[in-house]
Amino acid sequence: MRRFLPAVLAVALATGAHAQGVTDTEIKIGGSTALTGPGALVGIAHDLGEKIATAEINAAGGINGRKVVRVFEDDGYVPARTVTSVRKLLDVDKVLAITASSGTASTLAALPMMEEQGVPALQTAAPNTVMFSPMHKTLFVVGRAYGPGTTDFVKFLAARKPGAKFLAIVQDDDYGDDVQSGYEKAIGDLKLTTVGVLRYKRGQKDFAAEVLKAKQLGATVIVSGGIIAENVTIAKEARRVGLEAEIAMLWSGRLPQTIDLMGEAGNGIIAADYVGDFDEGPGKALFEKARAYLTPEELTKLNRYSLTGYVGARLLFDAIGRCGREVTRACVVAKLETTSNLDMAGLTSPISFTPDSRISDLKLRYTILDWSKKAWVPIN
Amino acid sequence: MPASLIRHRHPAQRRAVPLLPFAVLAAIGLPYAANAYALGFATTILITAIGVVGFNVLTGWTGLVSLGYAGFFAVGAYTQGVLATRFGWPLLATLPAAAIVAAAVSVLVGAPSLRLRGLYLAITTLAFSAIISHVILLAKPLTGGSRGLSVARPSVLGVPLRSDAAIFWLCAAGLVLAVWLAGNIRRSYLGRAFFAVRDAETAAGVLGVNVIRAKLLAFALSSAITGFAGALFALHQRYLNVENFELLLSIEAVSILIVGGIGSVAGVIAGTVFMVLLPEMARLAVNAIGGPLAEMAGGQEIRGVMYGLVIILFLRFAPGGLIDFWTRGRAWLRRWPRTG
Amino acid sequence: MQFLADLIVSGLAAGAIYGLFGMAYAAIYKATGVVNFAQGEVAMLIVYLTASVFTRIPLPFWSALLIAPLIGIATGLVLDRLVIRPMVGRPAFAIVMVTIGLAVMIRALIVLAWGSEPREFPARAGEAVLKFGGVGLYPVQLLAFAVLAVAIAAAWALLRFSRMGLAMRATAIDERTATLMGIDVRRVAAIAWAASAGVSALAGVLFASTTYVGPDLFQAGLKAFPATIVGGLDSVIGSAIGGLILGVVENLTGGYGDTALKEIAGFVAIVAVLMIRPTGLFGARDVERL
Repeated sequence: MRRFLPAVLAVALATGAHAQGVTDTEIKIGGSTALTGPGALVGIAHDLGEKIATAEINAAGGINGRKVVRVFEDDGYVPARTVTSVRKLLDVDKVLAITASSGTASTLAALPMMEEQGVPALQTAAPNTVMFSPMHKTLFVVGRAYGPGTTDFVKFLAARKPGAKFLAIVQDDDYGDDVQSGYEKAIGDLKLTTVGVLRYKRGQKDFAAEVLKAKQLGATVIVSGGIIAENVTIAKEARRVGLEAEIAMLWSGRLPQTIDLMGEAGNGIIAADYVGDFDEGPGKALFEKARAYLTPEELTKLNRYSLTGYVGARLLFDAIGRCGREVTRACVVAKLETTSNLDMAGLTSPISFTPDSRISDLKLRYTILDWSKKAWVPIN
Repeated sequence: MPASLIRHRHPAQRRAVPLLPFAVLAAIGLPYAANAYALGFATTILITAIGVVGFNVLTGWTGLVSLGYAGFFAVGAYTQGVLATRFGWPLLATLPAAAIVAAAVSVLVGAPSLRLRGLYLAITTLAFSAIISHVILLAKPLTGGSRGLSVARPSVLGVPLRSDAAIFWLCAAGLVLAVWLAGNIRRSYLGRAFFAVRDAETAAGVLGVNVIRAKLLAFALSSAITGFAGALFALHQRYLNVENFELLLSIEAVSILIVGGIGSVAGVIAGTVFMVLLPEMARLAVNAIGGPLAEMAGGQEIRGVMYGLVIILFLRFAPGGLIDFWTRGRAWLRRWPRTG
Repeated sequence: MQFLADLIVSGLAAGAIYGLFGMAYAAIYKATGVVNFAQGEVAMLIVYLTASVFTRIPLPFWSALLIAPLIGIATGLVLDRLVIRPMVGRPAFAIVMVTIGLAVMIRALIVLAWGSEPREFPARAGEAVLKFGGVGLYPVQLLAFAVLAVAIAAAWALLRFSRMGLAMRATAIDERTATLMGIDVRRVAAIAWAASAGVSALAGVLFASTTYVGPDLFQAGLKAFPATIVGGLDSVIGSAIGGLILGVVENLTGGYGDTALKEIAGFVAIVAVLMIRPTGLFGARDVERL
């Protein structure tokens, strides 16, 4: 019996007319992020991005005639609560797929449960290398991973400023680890000069010692691995102590609030990202479309995480659509992993996965903060 | 801490517990009746109750305020995770090890501060919580550092503890063990020494209680039980990360104690059920009413407001906690025909 | 040498704010024997209230140093009346727990009322970098030193020349006896809460001006807690000095040692102080109440 059980299950899964979360008229998907608490800046924006994508597809008649219904849980960015939320989504709401599970730690916490049930899952907000290396069959990461992304970024910076002395300031968590490994790889690949990697404690507010140390060590390019406030403080401190270095930051902090908070000190900061902004190009077109689906107050809360959430939802809908009427979890996973060059209308580079890769390496774009325009201007 | 905050019950007054058979039946049956979500909640309640039973030994019985609950919980959880995952220890070895390591750490933390009276333990344990998460991050080869640690679910005597139901039963057994242990300590010489230290430290010393030793023992026993709960948490969650063990967890333990009734084991259990279910109940209630609050109902904020409010209100109006309502209610019923 | 000077000055600048928080902790402790675990949260609440005023009425920054303490004193009095006074006569243990409850509640209420987005403090003290022998400081950091100096002088005068200082000490030692001796214990507690909130308002506004107004502002209070342990929980002026020491120790740890250790240096200092000199550097007596 034991030998047959997997086979029986597989057949049941493959031929079952209605997989969990799918009825004749509906497809139910779910996600969990921080809608409250300090992580809400990211979580709310993400939720709104998915909301736009869902409204859009339902307005177009749904996926093969089925409406998409979304259940969203708030976990306050606490891993143990993400586990509870995901458990509820899977066992009570009975969703087909999970579109979000907060950050890295929370996704890893919820992963055993999602893997056991073969739930197709997306991670679009925190593209950490640990999410896809080693590979988890059902977890798909959309973005450019922090590590390789930092490698690209440092190489780009090195080409811009030959002979620079690099220094990285990274957070003492999984995010910082990934950034650091990517930083060190770029340094090794191109034999660049590094004067150090400084680790700071999550939630730290005072960066005087770090910036002074960077000055003392003679850094001319600082890779700032902060999120929002950290990058702001590092820029302000650099200005105070008269550190004449270029400051570069990753996408995680590329938010409108960062520009406001940095003030003049932010002028000339370089940032890398794989999505654009809502005030230009394809982002602007989406923003105009979003006016029909969101309240004016919600529109003010959109940021880059809305774009990543939107792109992720579109990817999932595409995969479900390619399953036809027979939507099962196994089918969605199979279709996701064969996604090839899925066009995102210029919001990101096209998305692809393969059976042995769970990261869609999106192309980075580089921007520089122009304080007079209060905007990120693309660097050519 | 004065006696007014604490309820005493002489051992002889212990009533037989008619609820026990029902509780056992419920514990055996629940995994068959409930869905995974409800079962997850029930397991969380059991684990929290074990941890706070331990916390109560220190704060409830010995009168020492600690803000280090989350730290000792983390020590137990990581001991379980590291020994089982990295070294392949069996469960019957890791669970006691988690308790012992947590106890050993508490002696280290307690030794400098327990010589002092008053709030100093709260201060050192607060410092300890900040330091321990840093140590966990630094001990990367063992703990996985900031990447966290996936915890394998082991087998006991050849039976694999794969399912959530198995973990639930394990936690239920753990709670029985913790309550039994706490009850025995309470009735022993040691328990009486703890109460003596709490109610009249100087007098206890004069009467021959070795005050520092009693405090250290209380701290060690308390941390051992809390560490044991942490180990079960590791098995339940299957993934550990320092983010799980922040100050709010310690505050949750404090609030459970206050709500349940400081010093009482039954109170701990009542308080745990109340505090774990409170956010869920509130969410259901607010969702039912609807309105602009509904979208925030399950949020961290509502939870925070409720924790805070419950702590303040209970301390102000019902310092005896839930268990006091129960006792008073029973007394009133017993007298009922005669008194109004 | 320049590096060392830079580190020390930066440390003092951070330490001035820690010192103000330290004074706020000590004021309540000295008068009531209670550690207010909601100190950072109270400061955060006052900063948000002050920021709301300044968003509506565009006032110059210096006026925040007058308005914030006034809002602070009012907040302190209200909190005392609503939360603390009903607990008079109850053990310090219970009141400490109440402050923990208060802390959790304020954190949550702030986000419910103002959202979780970080924003700039609406009035700015100026962005020009002032140079002192090669060491740069923002105007607000310079102001922090001045404010700390004024606060220390005021606290010294109050404790030295008024009956309040005596009444505060008497209440802390034995509330019941103090009451019997004719001291209005409730009034002492109310004044301590008001003064403490007023000082922490200054700390909060200065801190928010160097960083931002956000719902994690309370952490500044928690981080400053070692200042009062180092300086002495019952010594208001000692706690101010403890703050300066803490700021310098942190920056030297970060500058010459591991930057990641900087943030817990204060808590390591707590453990060290408790082992060597439990009453802190300037504390007078052991803490016996609970």
